Amino acid sequence: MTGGSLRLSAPSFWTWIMIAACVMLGVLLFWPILSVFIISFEDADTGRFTLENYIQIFTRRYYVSALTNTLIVGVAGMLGACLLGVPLAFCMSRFQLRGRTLISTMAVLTLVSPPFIGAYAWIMLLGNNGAITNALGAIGIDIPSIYGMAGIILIFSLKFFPFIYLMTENALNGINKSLEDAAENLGCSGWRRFRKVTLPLVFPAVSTGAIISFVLSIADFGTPAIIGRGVRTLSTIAYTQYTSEMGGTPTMAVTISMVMIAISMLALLIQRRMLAKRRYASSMTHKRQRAPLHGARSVLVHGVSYGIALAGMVPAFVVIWTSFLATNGPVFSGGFGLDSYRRIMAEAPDAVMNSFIFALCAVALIAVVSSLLSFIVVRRESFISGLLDLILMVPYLVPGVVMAIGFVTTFNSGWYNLVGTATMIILIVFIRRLPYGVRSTSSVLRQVKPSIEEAAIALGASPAKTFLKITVPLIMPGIIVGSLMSFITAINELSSTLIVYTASTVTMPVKIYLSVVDGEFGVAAALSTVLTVSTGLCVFLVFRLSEDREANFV
Amino acid sequence: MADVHLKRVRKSYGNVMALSEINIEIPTGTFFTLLGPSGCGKTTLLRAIAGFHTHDSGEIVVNGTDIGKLPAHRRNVGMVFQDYAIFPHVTVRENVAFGLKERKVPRAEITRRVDDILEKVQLAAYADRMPHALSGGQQQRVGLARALVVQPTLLLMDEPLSNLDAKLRVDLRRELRAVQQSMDMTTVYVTHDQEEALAMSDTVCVMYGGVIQQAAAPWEIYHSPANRFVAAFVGSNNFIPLVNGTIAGVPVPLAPGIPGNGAELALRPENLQIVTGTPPEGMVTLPATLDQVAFTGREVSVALHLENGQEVQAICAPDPALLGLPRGARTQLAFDPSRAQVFESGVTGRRLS
Repeated sequence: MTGGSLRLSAPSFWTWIMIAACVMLGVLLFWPILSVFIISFEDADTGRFTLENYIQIFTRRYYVSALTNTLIVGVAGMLGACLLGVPLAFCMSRFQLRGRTLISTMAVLTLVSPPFIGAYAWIMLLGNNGAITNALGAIGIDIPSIYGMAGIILIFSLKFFPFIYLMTENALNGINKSLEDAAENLGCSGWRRFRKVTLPLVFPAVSTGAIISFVLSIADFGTPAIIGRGVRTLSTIAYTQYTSEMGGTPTMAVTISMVMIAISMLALLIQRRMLAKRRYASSMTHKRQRAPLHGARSVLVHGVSYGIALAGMVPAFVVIWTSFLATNGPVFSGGFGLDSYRRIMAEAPDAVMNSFIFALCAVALIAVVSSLLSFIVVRRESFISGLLDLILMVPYLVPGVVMAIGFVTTFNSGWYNLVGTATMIILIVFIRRLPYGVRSTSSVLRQVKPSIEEAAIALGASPAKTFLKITVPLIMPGIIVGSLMSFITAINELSSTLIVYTASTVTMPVKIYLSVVDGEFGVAAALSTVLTVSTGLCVFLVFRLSEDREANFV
Repeated sequence: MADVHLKRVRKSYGNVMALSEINIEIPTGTFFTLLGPSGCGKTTLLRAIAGFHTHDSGEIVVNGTDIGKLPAHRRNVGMVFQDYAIFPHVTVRENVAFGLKERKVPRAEITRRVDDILEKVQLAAYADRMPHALSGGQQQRVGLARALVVQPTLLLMDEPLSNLDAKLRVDLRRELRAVQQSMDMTTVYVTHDQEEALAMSDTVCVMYGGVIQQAAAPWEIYHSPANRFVAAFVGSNNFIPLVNGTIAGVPVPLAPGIPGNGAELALRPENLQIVTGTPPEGMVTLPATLDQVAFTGREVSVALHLENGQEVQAICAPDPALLGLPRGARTQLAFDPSRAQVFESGVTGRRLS
């Protein structure tokens, strides 16, 4: 009754929008992916069809080890994130903790800060010349190296646990108290009850969080690039291959890209399959009271919760602290000073400007397109709108490196040559972050009764006018929150920009990455601080503007 | 103001026939009610007239022109919704002015017309409030004012009172009808509430399974239902199957030509009497056992079963003697055979007498 209801009244306007949406997604999403797909079957020199590229990936040691490393860091990062996220969620949902808002805010801030900042912040602490390493070294304790696999896994765990925490806490809060009471009444209590009743009930949420962590872990470029040393993953070798194949056909880079997409999709499929058998109808929930805490138990629970939340925030503290250290060139000269900020004002004002301009342009596009797309997805229940909903999952699965390589190999000649332009950076960010906008907008639109729009139409407003005068004002909160969310992810974008930037389109994340590679930690810290503060500001606004605060971030 | 003529309107969803061959004529100024259980097609038909659904075939002729192919926003049809559908982000005044602005009516005239209509629905004092500050009944009056102020050719109402509480529903029902009559507005009204339909309408159109069962004045719908469905849906009724022209062995005088089997006697509860002494002349009496007596103030509702196990409902005037009867008491049910109607068995069985 709700969907399809405007079909007759809106044949022209919404049909055109739908066609435009399909064309847009075709050009900006499928064409690049398709061209990457095709190139992966081409011989680099002759351009003939070949399976050689794939055979190489699964046989040559260089690729096989990268593939294994990717799977190891992906799975280990995911497990690490679960180990941190699930206990935190349990503590938060079941006990009366002091400073709950602080903890959840820290978790969200951890979530939105770019992972590569984490990588280099931990190097500052635990690296060969890190603060903690040196302090412990002075009293004769040697700690194992942070570089390599261990460091990558540590950073992924600390970076991605908030996904699991936020989703699991939400699910735990949604469990009908009576279910656990019933279990207890039937003689099942304590740990057994947790294992037999509670955990299975939140499994869908945990696994959804886990799958996001896995997909993001294997796609992440900055962390292994900065802290991996000898450990190569698919995203770092895709980048290396791409830069070394520059000028020629990037066949190996795109083949690696296809393998990455395949792994992400496989992971998603496995999770879907596991969830398919677990559909829990939830009834009106009878919320449980949070248990008060006393004595040692209180210390333990608070210690665990704050420990996990603060560990995620360490990078932010480190970069802010470091940014205010006095420097002399790349060397920290002792004491505090604003030298690093002076240097970014002098050396990288364009990086700061570019970041904001690109992010704002992408967000403006996202705001407009996502509100139109949400309307199609929510209001018009047709085959195509269902398909659009599904298609909007794709950007989640395609790593940034892959998207960028796809764009470069697609829009590289003739009138649509975008290589090296700001437009390309903006479009890549736009298409990658569009799903955030659509999701946020459509969740608000679902709560707007279709009859309100029908009333406007019955009063003589055309479908387009109804959308502008009635729908848009009503979904504005969703549009704003979606825009802020896209802005956060857009301004932190590194992996795709690194492939397509030129001297004139350097962004903050790129500049931070290059500075870290060059050992310019002061500059990196100052830029990271600017990023962290702008991100934090957006998080604050999202918190102020939306009711279901944390849910916006997962 | 307009007369409406629906000609052979059809609509199906896949294999499900939502509307089959709907033919309706609604004269100007008529309050026309579509009544039926959920899923009977009444809302589908209303939304087809409004233009929110396409119909597969047929014509929707208003004042001589087929509006069936026009997009909804060009049909000039007023619509009042079950959930009010008040624009929550603008004031009452702006809600009501919305349609006038769309029609590019001059500002001064908008103010005048909005004031007039708000006066009419008794909301003049609320013009500058936001909708969330209004009660459900007030919101629905805004909905009515908003639909009427543009002087639509036709007013459509989709269960406008069903989200209100019982008392308010009755008050607003009167008010709605008064406004409709004063403006002589052709109205198509959808409801599943038979009492509402009977109380408000000039014509009640009972629908079932996408088919019109009967369209007639309320009195006729109630007293001469066209088939068993109408007799069952409008008002309550006891349907008692005839076996060889008898009920539980008691012969019933039937009009000539009525089969003694495969037919059911329809007896309205208010036409049944509980008789303790000798039954009045000309009445048929059936021995019955008392199951339950429920006193509801104005009347007494009595549940009984006949000797063949058939359950029967009777409504009687309050009588302490009746209330004193114990469960399981043996008594007699009497009815006037001339007030009984006979239908063919089956949900939409034909009326035989």
